[in-house]
This record gives sequence, structure tokens and C-alpha cells, in this order.
Amino acid sequence: MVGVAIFTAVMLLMVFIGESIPMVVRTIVYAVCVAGIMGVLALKNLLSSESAAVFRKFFGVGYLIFGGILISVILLDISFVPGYSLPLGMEPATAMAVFGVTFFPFIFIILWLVGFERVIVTPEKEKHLKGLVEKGEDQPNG
Amino acid sequence: MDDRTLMLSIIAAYMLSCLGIGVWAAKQTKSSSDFFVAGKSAGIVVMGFASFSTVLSGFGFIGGPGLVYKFGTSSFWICLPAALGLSFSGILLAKRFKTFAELFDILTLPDAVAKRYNSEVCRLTAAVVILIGVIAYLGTNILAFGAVAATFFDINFTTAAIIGMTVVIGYAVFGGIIAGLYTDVFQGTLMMFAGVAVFWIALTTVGDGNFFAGTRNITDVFTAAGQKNAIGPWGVLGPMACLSYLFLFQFGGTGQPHTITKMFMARDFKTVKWSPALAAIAYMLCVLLWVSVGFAMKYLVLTGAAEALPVGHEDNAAPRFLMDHTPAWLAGIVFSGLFAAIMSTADSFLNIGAGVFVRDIPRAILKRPVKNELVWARTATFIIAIAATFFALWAKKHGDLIAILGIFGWGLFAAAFVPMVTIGFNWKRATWQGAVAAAVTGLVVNVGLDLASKYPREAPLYFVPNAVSAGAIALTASVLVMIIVSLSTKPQTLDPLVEEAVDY
Repeated sequence: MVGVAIFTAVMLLMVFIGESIPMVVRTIVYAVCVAGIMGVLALKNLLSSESAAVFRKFFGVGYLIFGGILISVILLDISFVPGYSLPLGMEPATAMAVFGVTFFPFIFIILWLVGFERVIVTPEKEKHLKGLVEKGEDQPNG
Repeated sequence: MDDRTLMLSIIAAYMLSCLGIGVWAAKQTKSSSDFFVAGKSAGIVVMGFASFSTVLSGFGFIGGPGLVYKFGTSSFWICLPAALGLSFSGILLAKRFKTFAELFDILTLPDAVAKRYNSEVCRLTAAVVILIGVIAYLGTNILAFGAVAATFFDINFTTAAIIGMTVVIGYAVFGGIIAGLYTDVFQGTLMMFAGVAVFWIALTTVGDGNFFAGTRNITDVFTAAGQKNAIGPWGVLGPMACLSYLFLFQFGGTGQPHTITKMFMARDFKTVKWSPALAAIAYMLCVLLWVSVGFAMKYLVLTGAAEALPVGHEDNAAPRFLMDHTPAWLAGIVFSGLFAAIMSTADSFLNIGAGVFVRDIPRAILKRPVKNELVWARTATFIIAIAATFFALWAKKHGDLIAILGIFGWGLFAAAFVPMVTIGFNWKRATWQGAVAAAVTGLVVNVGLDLASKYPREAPLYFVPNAVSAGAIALTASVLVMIIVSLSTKPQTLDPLVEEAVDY
């Protein structure tokens, strides 16, 4: 969680005292921090068991790609010159923003579904929880 | 039958169906557990549709196109990440919330927070934030209802807003969350159909009959009109603002009580597995309306085919487009879906707000529950609805756009509950002091920056650099405060079952 704290501190710095830093650098740093925070927290939700190792790699790589997509949008935007071809009728950076930032993260949903029983909530954990509830160990609130 | 009569007939049929669902739900609602968490019996479809329908309210269907009309693609960085926020909240919270709901008597978000931190101060803090946010967010939806109804029925905005709230009170007071959940399934289906259909019509309209020429024509016309910024990746607001919205709406989505509390209602872990995916996909289909209508309306204005919307009335983009450029039967369905979206979100918020009054504040302050919770829940629903209506009318008088108010409400919840819930339920070292400090920081920063950018009216005090979202700054600051204060305070010894649930 210290990593998340560092990312958030850097984000605040980029907003409030980053005026002297070129905008392209500020936006890249901000984008990396955004992807980093989400990546760290998502990885915390994968089980630390051996069976989760491959999925942890997939999720980790996925968030690296997500960060890369954000950087691509920034770089494509500053390098665009009128007259360049327009994919699907949009500027390249806009197309990347719409499809890369939006649809790519659906990969995470696919990973979530595919790996649910092995790396997120295993049948053993579910059975254990059911056992706790049936033993009457639930505690009324208040 | 003329077009207007057809539209009115469809809307009337829909409203009667909603009220019918409300009556049916009232008969199913026999306890406070039924009223707040539908008896923890929601399946995949109900939970998935309820999650996305609650997010896609008047904010999405009316405020969204208005934002696109005004700021171009900047608005994409709100609507598109919000879809991912739905699935992200599933990844970060679903299994933990489901576990809490199984192990403990959890009916509300403050219940869960109080149990996690073993702290009634946390419960009270969460309750206060919810009350403030609910009134702001409900205000958004009342404004949206007023905007649509005033345009459609050609009536005074205040009258329209009051009519809308009356209908919501009707089924929220008696049906509780069960009314909202089952209405969400019905209207979610309508909204998905409406989103795809209107997207097709919008792009075909601007493509001069050719759907595939739509985006190209938009690019050409906007470029020729000197509004190239509006169609770039960052829109009018620029990259820092857009990235701040990405952060606020994707990460902040995990702190929205009206969606995450749905996880308490899940019937089983299979529901928890599939519903985030269903919600995200369904939401994306609906959001097609958001992204297309604003551009289509602006395109029509730039080409002289439609009158420009006055400044401050950009929220009329969607109603105007629907009335003037879609077939009457489709406009009727979409308007029905719009009204439904607004009402179901309002119902969710009323339900959450009622929970605060009836369950959380008495437990936090009086240390005991109230008697006749169900009766008091219905009474509180009524009172909150009236307060929100007054707030909405005040906001309208001060010229707030629907989406701007919605962003404020979203940011308020995000800044308080992302640290308290998303971080706190994923990190055993989080302490109650960190949670409370974070919530207070979020509230102060969000409200402070918002007020500073508006008042005094003739020369506002402060504008955040590069149009970065105040809500995103509040969220960032509150997460940082949460971690620093938690690490600086004594670690809490957790109840073994709480530790098991957080460690899941």
C-alpha cells in the first residue's frame, strides 16, 4: 500500500506544482500513476497460491499494457498532423482512447471470469465460509 | 394517432408498469432486510442490471449528451471508465462484501464499515457522507427529470420536477429496494435497446444516411468549424482533466454506495462472479447513446440543421435530438427508459438514505436500533425526497448542469468511500482513524474546491490548474491521508471473522 501512497502523492504534485514540467511529461507521469494504483489493488485480490501465479502475471502484464495505451494516446495526440489518415473516421489518438482505454480493459473481465474459481474465490474457500455460517458463528451487528 | 400521442401512450404504459412493479414489490417487502437488501436473494441478472441501471441515471442519459455537446470527447473519459468502474468494483470488493454479508448482519454500507473497523465513529462518518451525497445525487436526477419532462410536455421545470419526485416516492416508499431491483431489470433491457438504436440513428443522421460515414463527417465538420479540440482524444478540457476523470470514474466507481451495496444482495458467489461482467457489458451498450447524441446534436447545429442550444441549456441536447430526429415510437421508448433510469437511481438513493436515518444514525448515536424500522424507513424516504427536490430547484436556479452536479456527487462518494471501503477492505493495516480522516479530507477538499470555483460569482476564489476534476483531487488526497494516518496510528486487532473476510 506504500506504493499506492507514492503514486497518489506524485499525482497531487503533478497537478499543483508541476507547471514547470512539460505537459507531455506531466500527463505521462499522471497516467502511469493511475494505471499503477489500479494494478496494485487488483493484484491484491488474487490469491497468493501457486495456482494463481500465471493469472497474476496476466493481470500484471495487462496493467502494464493499460499504462502503455494511455501513454500512446498522449504521444499519438502530440504527433498528429492534419492530413494523416483517420482510422474509423477519427484521429488516431481518439480511436486509441475509445478502443484502447475502453475495450482493452474488458480483458480484465475475461481474466476474472476464466480464473474466478482458481484465483479469486476457490470452492474450498466457499465451503469454509458456508461452514462458518452454519456453525452459527455469524455475529449480529450493533 | 399522431407522434406526440404515441409517445405519451408508450410513456404512460411504462409508468403504469413501474407502479405495478412497485405494488408487487410492496407485497414482497415484509422486513427491513427485504427493504434494504432484498432479503439477500438477488441473482445474476437482477444484480447485474441493478448495478448498471443505478449508475446510468439521468446523469448518463441527459447529462452525458449535454457534456458531449459542450466539451466534446472530454466526456468520453467519464462515461467509458464508469463502465470499467463497475467491473473494477467487482474485482476489488465483490467477494469481500459477499463474505461480510454472509458472516454478519449487514444491511447498509455503514453497517459494513462499522463492523470492519469496530467503530461507531466510522459508521457515523459514513452515514453523514451518504446523506450529503444522496441529496446531491438525487438532485441530479430530479434536474434530469425536470429537463426531460419540461421539454417533452412543454411545462414549467418546477412542475415537472415535482411530478417526477411524486412518482418516485410512490414506488420507493412502499416497495423499497425490491421495487428498484425489478424495475431495473425491466428498464435495463429498455435502456440497452435504446442505447443501440439511438446510436445507430445518430450516426446515420450525421452520416447522411450512411452509418459508417458518421464519424468521418463529424471530424470534417468540427474541423471546418474550428472545433478540432472537441474531437481530439482529450476534448475541450485537455489531457490532465480527462485523466483525472478516468481516475475518478474508474477507481472512484468502487466507492459508489448505490452500486457496491448491491453486492450485499447477492444470492451466492456465482452471482458475484458473473454480475460485474454483465453490468459492464450492458452499461457499454447503453452508453452508446451518451457518446453519439451529443455529437450528433452539435453536428446538426454546426451544419445549420438545428438551432443552437443556449448556454446553460446543453442538457436539452438529448431530449431535442429524440424529439426531432428519431421515430416517435423509439422516442417514446427512449423517454420511457430515461424516466425509468432516473426513477430507479432515485429509488436506490432514497433507499440508501433511508437506511442512514433509520439504522445507522440511531446505532451510532443512541447505540440501539429503532423500533418499527420498516415504518421509519418509509417515512425517511419521503423526507429525503422532499429535501432533495428543494436542493435540485436551488441548483437549477444557480445554473448547474446536470452532469456537473452528478460529477460532484460521484466525487463526494468516491473521496470518502474509496479509502474507507476499497482500501480498508483490501488492507488489514487500515485503521478507523485513517478511515475517518480520509472521509473528512475527501468531503472538505471536494466541497471546498467546488465552492471556491463558483464563489464569489463575480470573481471565483480558485480554479484547479488544467481543469483537473475536484473530485479526483479529493479522491487522491483522501487515499493518501488514509494510508499515512493508518500507518501512523496503532494497528487494530481485528475480530477473527473480520480478519478472515478481509483476508479472503
